[in-house]
Amino acid sequence: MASDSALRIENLTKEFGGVPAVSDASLSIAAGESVALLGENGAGKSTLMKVVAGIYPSGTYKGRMFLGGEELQCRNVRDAESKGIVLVPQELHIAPNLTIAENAAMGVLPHRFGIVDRAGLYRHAKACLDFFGMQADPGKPASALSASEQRLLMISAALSRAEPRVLILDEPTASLTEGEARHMYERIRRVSKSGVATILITHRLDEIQGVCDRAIVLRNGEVVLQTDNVTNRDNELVRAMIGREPETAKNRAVSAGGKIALSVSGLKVQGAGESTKPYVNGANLDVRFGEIVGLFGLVGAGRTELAKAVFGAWGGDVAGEVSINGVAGRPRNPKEALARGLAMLTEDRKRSGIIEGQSVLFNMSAASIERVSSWGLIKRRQEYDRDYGLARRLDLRPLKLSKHIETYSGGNQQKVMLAKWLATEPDVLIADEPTYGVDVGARYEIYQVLRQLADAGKAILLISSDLEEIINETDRVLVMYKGRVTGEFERGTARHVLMAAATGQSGGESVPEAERAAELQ
Amino acid sequence: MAETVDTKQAAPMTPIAQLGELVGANTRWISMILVFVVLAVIFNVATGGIFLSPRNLTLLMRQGAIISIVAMGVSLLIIKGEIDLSIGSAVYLCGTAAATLQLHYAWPVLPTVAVTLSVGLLLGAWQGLWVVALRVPSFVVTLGGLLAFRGLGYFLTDAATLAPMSQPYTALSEGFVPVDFSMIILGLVFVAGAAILVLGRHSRSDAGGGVFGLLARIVLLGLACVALAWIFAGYRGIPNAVLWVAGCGLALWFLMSRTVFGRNAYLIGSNREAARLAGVDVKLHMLGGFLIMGAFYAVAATLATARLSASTPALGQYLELDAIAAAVIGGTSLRGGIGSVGGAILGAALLVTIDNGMSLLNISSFVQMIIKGMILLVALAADVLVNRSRSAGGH
Repeated sequence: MASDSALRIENLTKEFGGVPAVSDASLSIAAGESVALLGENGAGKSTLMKVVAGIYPSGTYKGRMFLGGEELQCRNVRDAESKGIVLVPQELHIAPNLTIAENAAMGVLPHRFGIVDRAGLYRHAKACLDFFGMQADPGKPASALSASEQRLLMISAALSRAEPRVLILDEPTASLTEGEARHMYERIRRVSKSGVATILITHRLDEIQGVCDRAIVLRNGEVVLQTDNVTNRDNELVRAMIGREPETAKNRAVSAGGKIALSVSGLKVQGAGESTKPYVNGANLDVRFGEIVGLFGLVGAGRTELAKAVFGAWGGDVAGEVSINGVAGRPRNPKEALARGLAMLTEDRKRSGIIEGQSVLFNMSAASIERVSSWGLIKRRQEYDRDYGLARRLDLRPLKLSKHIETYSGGNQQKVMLAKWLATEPDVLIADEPTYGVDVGARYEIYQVLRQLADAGKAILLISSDLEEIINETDRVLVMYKGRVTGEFERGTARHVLMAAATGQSGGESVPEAERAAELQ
Repeated sequence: MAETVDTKQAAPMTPIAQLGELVGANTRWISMILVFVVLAVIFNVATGGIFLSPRNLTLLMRQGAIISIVAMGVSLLIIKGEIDLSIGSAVYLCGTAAATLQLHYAWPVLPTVAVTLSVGLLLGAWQGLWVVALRVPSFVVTLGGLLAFRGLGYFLTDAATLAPMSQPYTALSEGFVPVDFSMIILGLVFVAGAAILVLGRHSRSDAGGGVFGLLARIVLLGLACVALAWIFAGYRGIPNAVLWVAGCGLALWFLMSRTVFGRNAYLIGSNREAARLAGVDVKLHMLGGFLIMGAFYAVAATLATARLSASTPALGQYLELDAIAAAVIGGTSLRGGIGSVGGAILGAALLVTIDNGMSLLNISSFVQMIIKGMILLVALAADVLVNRSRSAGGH
């Protein structure tokens, strides 16, 4: 094994300010093999892979690495790329105003004597789009692609950059739906079979089966487990990731819910002044006090747009009825929505959630500063005590309110965001993808808080693309398809039924045969 | 996401950072005060003891008053993620209003100041409305103001120098609080400051320091008061211009650090979209910021015309650049969300010290401009370096 390994890492240690992020890690991966690198946030997965990809150049770490038998020492990312190591980071950098073609060729614009070769540019972009079977005009701005399409584009663009020998994907499916993820993995599998060593960083155990040959688990910077297959080892892997017995999902009673807390009828959401197809087209739904309602659907089904419109945060045109807590009338802006007891945990944490450069305290109080002020004066003691209590309740780690939010892990940032909305003491909470990019431990805590809220009589609309989450954490599931709520299901409905509804196969709406086939791809 | 955890390990603290932790000031403030002390010593030696005389220091404070006022105002706008390039021209236009009232209509001081203030607020509202209602970037709106306000002033006055202002009006900036009153004021400042430090210690429960830190802070406050007492007693008392700076500074500091308005200013500057989604009325806050800036145009104009006892066509020229430079040297980030009133005042103090010291040394004003430009560059580069080493190993 060691002799024909594509990538071998020996006793690698990487420290930051004397504290090891990766300590004494050794592993090897064969060509053509696909390995899952598992671990909670902060376990050192990304750091280890950044060392491999040259982001931390040789000399900044201890230990040795070998690429196909030769010692690997990279001066920088370019150097690593030229040796065939491709890292697709979790956070993608897309220039939304540039064209799809320009984004795909970022850094490697084809040119002749300094003049961009437009034909070559478009050929390259077309190839990148075709790789994942996407239909789009390369001349359109990248913002025309959905978030998941952008991700697929960046993956294929990264692959096209060099002849890859080692491919590292950092949480590639974080913003993809199950169908899209499966589709992507099929392609990745094909790349891997052609002799590329593939490393998949993830903490979603459900998706590694059938994709990865082996799993390597990191905890606190150390390799704690290496398996030679991944079938039916979920419990063992989770135990290795979190270092203790995983909590088993309790069989709780389904909450029937009380009075209607949030009611949406005939909601239509469109871009400002656009005559194009609306994102949401006549959606109806009810959420009752005391229940968690799941809103499931594929990316592009209109879930986030619906949530934004209900919260008064949609920039374009909205029509339809919304009633909150029995009071009719659509909120005109988030301020009004908040005043009426509605809160929304936003989907895109980095862009519209956390306020970077500011402390945890400022972030936590952002939506509720009026509640701890009188006549515009902040009562600082009261603010601190309240926020500290919330941080304790959500088990923020480290528990320090003066630290800048961006120094926290994704899971802890999300806890702060949840605390921000809890501080507004909402009657209705819309949580849009609350566990996106959140590690297993923090996920569990977030679910617990949501459940506590529902038990305390609040209404919760949980928007998610994660079927496990939808099935395990909600009392009732609504499925959205093409801008409408097309199905309502009891708790305990099988996955394939929900998936079928989300892809338009049921729910009473007839879908043309060709369109259905396209959705199922 | 995972990488963010890796970077949070505290790097070994530098001595400056430890000092900062103890007295509850940030590293930048300590460095700025150190630079200030070093400069003062150099200038003092080079001028044979003139620089650190009470008379010169009093003069320096009077010179610094106008820049301090506009630096504070513009730092508020920069914190919110906006900019103001029109400061110099807006101050000039306010100044012509004051001078016209004084000369042509012989108005008393108070109504003159009131009308000047209204003109300032009007200019602030004008620019604020373009930014808020029509969503024109503030860079462009205030660039327009830079041209139009001075043009309007020239048109109305035929670009004439309007002088002299009345004696009581000049005293607004050039007068002094008698020495005995000055000492009483300083004593009260010390007592009030110490009381705030003692009573406020609980609200810092998250930050370090302890009893020792509290004592250190009180001792520092005492030393500062003693130094000021030496300066004011050694010349003619507290210059009135300094009272304006102290008043505006205290008001703005309180606004920025203790009120909802100030809190939201930082949130808007750091992430406008997130602030909006958190229910912050961004437009209203933005308009408020421009109105405050407008009030500060008027204060600066009053001080400037009182100081010169005139409104000259060159009044306020390049003032916006000095203001922005002072704010930035004082730690205001041009990307928004970071900065403080105290920092802006310290930044202005540094700029004026350099001006004053070089003038005492008879360095040509051309060379002074070069040196000031270089200092701005070095200050920003140092800032970038410090921030980079702090987040080393990060993204």
